[in-house]
Amino acid sequence: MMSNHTQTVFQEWVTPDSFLPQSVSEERQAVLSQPPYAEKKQIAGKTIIQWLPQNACDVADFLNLATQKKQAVSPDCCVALSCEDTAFLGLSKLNQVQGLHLADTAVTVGTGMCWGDLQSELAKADRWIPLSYPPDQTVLEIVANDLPALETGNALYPGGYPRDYILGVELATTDGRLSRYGGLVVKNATGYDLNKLYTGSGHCFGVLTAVTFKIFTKPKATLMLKIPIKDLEASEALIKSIQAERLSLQCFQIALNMRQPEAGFLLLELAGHYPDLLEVDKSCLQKRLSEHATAYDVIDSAHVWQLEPFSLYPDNRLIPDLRQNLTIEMAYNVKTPHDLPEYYWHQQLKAQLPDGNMPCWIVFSPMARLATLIWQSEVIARDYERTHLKAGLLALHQALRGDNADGLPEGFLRFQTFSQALGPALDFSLQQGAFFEKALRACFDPAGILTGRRV
Amino acid sequence: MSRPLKTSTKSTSLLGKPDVHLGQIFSPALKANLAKVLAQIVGARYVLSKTEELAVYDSDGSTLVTSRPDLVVLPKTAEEVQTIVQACLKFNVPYIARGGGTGLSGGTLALAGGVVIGLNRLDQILEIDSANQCATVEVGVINAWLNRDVAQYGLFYAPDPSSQSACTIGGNIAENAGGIHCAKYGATMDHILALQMVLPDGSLTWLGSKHRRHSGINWVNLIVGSEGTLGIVTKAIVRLLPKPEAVQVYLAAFPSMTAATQLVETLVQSSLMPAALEFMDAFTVKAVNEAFGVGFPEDCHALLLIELDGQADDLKKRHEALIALLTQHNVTQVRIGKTESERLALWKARKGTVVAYGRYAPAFYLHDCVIPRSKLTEVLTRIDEIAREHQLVMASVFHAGDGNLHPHILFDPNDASDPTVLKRVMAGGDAIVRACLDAGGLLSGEHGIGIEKSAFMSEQFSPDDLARMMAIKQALDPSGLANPAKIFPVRKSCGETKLMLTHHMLISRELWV
Repeated sequence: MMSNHTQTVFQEWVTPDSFLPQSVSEERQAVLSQPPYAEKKQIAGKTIIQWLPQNACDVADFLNLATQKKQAVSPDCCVALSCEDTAFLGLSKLNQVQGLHLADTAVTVGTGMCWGDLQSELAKADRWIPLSYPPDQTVLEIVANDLPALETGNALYPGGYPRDYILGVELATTDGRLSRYGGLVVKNATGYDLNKLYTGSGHCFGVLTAVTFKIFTKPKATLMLKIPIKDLEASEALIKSIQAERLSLQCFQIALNMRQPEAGFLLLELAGHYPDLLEVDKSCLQKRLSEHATAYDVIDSAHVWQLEPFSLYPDNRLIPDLRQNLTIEMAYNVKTPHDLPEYYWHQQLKAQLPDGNMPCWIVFSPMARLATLIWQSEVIARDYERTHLKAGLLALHQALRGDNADGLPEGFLRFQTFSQALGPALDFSLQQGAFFEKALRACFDPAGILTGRRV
Repeated sequence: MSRPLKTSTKSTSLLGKPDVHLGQIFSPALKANLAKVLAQIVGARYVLSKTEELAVYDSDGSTLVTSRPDLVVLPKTAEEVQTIVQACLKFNVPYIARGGGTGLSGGTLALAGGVVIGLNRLDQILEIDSANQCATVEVGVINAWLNRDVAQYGLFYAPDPSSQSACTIGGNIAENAGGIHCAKYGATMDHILALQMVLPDGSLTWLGSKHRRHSGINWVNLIVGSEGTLGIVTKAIVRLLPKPEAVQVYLAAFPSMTAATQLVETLVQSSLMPAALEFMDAFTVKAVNEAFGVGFPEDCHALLLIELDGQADDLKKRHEALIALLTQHNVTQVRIGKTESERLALWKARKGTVVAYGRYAPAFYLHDCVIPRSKLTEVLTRIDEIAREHQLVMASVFHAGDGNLHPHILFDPNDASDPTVLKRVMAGGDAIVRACLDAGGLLSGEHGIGIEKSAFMSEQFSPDDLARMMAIKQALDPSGLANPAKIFPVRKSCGETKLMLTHHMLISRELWV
């Protein structure tokens, strides 16, 4: 029951009209149903509707229209578990840098822009956002899912996630409006932080149309090394010695092929504003490597995405045959019996691999304390429950939880695997998170048209 | 059950009708019943109901608006907090969590009456996990205590508000507090990994975990800065950082305000990444010299305190680059704090500015707007004009590195020779806020909205955005009892709300120091 205090507040501000969509006129509907705004496409033998908004207001109108028609809608970067009744929003026209504000160290960009294009634009001004993703991944995918980046920050200033760099957002909501929060300021204690709420919400409150990022001066020198390792146990001493140095590392990844141990490698990137200091770090690193009789290759960071396992990173866009890579991310900073927590997870996972020949990598990010298990599967996403992929997930889940999770829906399983089942340090209340999400989705998407991450 | 209400004598608004938002109080019977229930939970010793006991809770650090709670309860455990919230739900009574009471926006005032839940007895540091660089603390832990205890592990907790020797981690979480090192390390939001909290439905839960990765929606970040309106945080897992190998603080004096702000613009765009970048105007320099005898150069028009930290070799390079920049920007004097004692002396003066202002006026009205850093010169010039237009004494000390302004309007509310001072203070304050909003700024950088700035929310946010934010409150706190009448304007017209607040200030004027 609402108290008198709140009733008085809300009766003046939150009226039913606040969230009723303003109806889209018939003329406007007619425009939006024709090219260039709408197209029908054949994908995997199915006909889907693709909506192609030309700007942020169009996105809001499409969502409004979808609400009126009770039409399920999803950004086309989402995996569509059922595509037949879903309209897909393609945001490729929202691909502009809307404002580069050097004095305020900020850039505002449309969410349809590819990450590679954005970084190229920033590089012209000697700036960058210290997050690397495959160049064709869009800002929308990255921010809506709060994807971890290749960089993992450094000891003093851990970054590695979009949310660390977002100053403002614009979100098209299902009532046909554009919600804006933040801006060019770098600090904000004004009301609830909707920047952080929308980042990582997976399109469940609306569709992000623009984002303002904090930008930085590009390091004057970088050096990326690929160092082969046979397996984690054999390389433990080397990894420990690298961790012990105060190197200016901005990327430190351990990539282990679970089926071909000899294919494993370390990926290190040194970066700094003073090339001569970077040389000192490089000498120090070379010394450590020679002590362990380890060779290395200097590689171009632009080519990282061609390396397994990074080429297997999740590609959730709607691609013709709906093939799906599966990535499971696990935080591993639980207390373990070993000095190297990676070792614990390596042992756990090796013992629980599902049958089959599919590539399977585990990538550890020591500085971010994150383990990413990557499978590639040639199954059609909507049929996944009948495949060995499901069996693999369940095996992993059982290994981590020590109980039988069979019968749980996939989303639930992933949620638990990510957040709850990984040890005593993770004391997250799944039910409460779901309660929060349901309550807020009812505010933002009362008709339930957005097919983002399901509760 | 519905709560019988009666209107206090101080709650008649200027609108000529009983105002249900301000100064509601319990019926004596209800108050006695609730006090009895609360005493069963925490013990009678920890339930305060006498006038002299409640007076402490009349205001927070600002004292601009005062409002007395009906009861104060001091729990020791999260479970007791949970039971108290459940009791408040049962009695349909508002509850307001309170930490050190050092807030500056009225966020912990019992504006609608009700129970203040003082969390100071939840004061244990439960775990320092140095391997994973985090600590689990109860929310009543004082910010400075945490830093004292983690120092032995070579770690530090970055958010450091000026009140860090008295403010609590819980209060910092509620307001998303910042501090002088926000420029590099971010505010409280960036340093909270997980929270244990009592939700408005009376359940106790954890959100987040020890690692930084959150799959899906990051609920922790919604709670941080929500000012206790979405529940009460009882424990937190905070992120700790390794202490930098080397630190240097530079005091730089400038012949004009513009010279200083131009250097700020240059610095934030450079790769020097100062850990702290603070601005003091000439008035403040004089005040801290008189109060603390620190000998800051008084012939300057503005002064910057710049801290660089990092690895020793790297710091040497950046030192050279900074000195070159200072020279280019016509600095008149530079002093370098190299040793810890030298650095502490410089920061002590910075953090003691409010005390120093006390030598000039018994009261101040402090704003907390944050603006794009490219607008610093423009807005500071406008603030000077506003001070002249309204005949106000204004002093400025602020976090220049993140554009977080702190203009202090100094005044004496009891000066019989200046009967219009309060109106001029309010009008000048309004003009400052508008100047910041016009420059693309926001209402608050680190103090929160509370009641002080709630009337301006409708000027920063569109009605749709504000309604959406309020809907979040409604969805998660359908009873509306968790710290009501905060953040959001209580009347549709912001002018109407401000009128009420001004009236409230006028009638509580006799309580000012």
